Amino acid sequence: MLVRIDPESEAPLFAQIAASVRADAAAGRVRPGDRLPAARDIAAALGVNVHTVLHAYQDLRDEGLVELRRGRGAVVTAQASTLEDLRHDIHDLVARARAAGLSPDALAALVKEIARDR
Amino acid sequence: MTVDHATPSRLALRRFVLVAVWLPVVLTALGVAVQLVLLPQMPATIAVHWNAAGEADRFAPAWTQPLATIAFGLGLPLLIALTSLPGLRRGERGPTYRLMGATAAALSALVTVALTWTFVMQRGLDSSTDAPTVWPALVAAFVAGAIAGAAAWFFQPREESTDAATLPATPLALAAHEQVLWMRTTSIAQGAAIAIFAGVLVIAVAAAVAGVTGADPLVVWLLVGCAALLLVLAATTLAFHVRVDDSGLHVDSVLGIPRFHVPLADIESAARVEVNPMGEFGGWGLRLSTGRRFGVVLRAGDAIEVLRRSGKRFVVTVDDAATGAALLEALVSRAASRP
Repeated sequence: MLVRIDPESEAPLFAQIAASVRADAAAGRVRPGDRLPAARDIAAALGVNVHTVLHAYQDLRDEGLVELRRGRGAVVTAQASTLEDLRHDIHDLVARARAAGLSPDALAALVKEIARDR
Repeated sequence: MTVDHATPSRLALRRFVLVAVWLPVVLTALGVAVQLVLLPQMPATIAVHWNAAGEADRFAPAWTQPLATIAFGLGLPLLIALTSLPGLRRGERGPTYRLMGATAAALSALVTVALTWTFVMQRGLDSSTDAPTVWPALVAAFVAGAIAGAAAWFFQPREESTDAATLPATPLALAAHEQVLWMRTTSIAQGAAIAIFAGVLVIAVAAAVAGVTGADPLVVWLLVGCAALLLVLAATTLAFHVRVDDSGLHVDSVLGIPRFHVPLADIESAARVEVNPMGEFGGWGLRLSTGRRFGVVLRAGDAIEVLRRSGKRFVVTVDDAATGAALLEALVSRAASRP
């Protein structure tokens, strides 16, 4: 799995880590049933606090992308394949928005807004 | 005139088949023919094993010898040929394939000469306990093996490894201050793990049986030692954590030892490659290969290959190797562009 964080970004580190795991699922790099690396291993390699990684894992559990089990760590659920299925649609959407001069942030805000209306 | 470098020579494939398949077929056929002609003159049981002093100590019915000659003199070379041929057919070339062909030829000559010679020297004996010493047969077998191996090596054309032209991966897009980590666990196929542990179990049971039946304590301890050593070697190489971060490439056994680390500063380039364990490394596990290449080879297929500044290469088989190699390339070029 690929985890990317930018300390200069405004988004909190835990949110960036969670977003990375989501992107991994969408790209098919993590699959249902895969066990994510231990939080302390990721924390040590990235030089962040272990609680930051655990925070990200807990958010992903609340979303339903992973299950946290004592002794087994974070296991990816079937939701990962749903994200992978959505990837092509999202790519198309991003490409069309970009062609129309709409930034990814504006597109994301629009998606959120429309999702709330319905 | 132009030379098409993209098409690997058919010559290497044809000659490999000649030395690794047809030579063993002919040698074994000759050996078995000689044995079958002499079978009526043989004692009912013949010596098939000699102790360290060269005296016969184990016996079997005479008719088992031709079967053993086919099983080992032809079976072992064919096993080598079958594991190497898929790679050669795909167009892979290199000194490892040449070595595999030479090994198949040498094994066949060694086994056939050893079994046929020990068979022939016992013809007309009243009892196999009178079997003469084994040394001349053994020396002849090793000489025959060495000659066949060397001949097969030089008969096959010299070919550069096809993987020498591996292209570095396209680097991942990376921001200046971004911290990136790629992690993946790689393990051997479940079937292979079961086979290894079954092997260890067989040796352990053999040790227990030897202990209970009052065999030489040295034999018992040797078997126990073998089982323990195999268990440790197998357990530490079953699975590895592979990690790419700004300190380089880490490959650590799940049990902690052994660990391998290629520092970022040592890396010239990184690529995703397809590994054929038998053809390129002669098997699975922690492997040295030709071309200063070391591999953590747990299965066939996707692998990260790192070219070090020293010219040595490090290979690890792992899923999603393309992402790992792309990240390494990006980290290397980012480190190089920093003041």
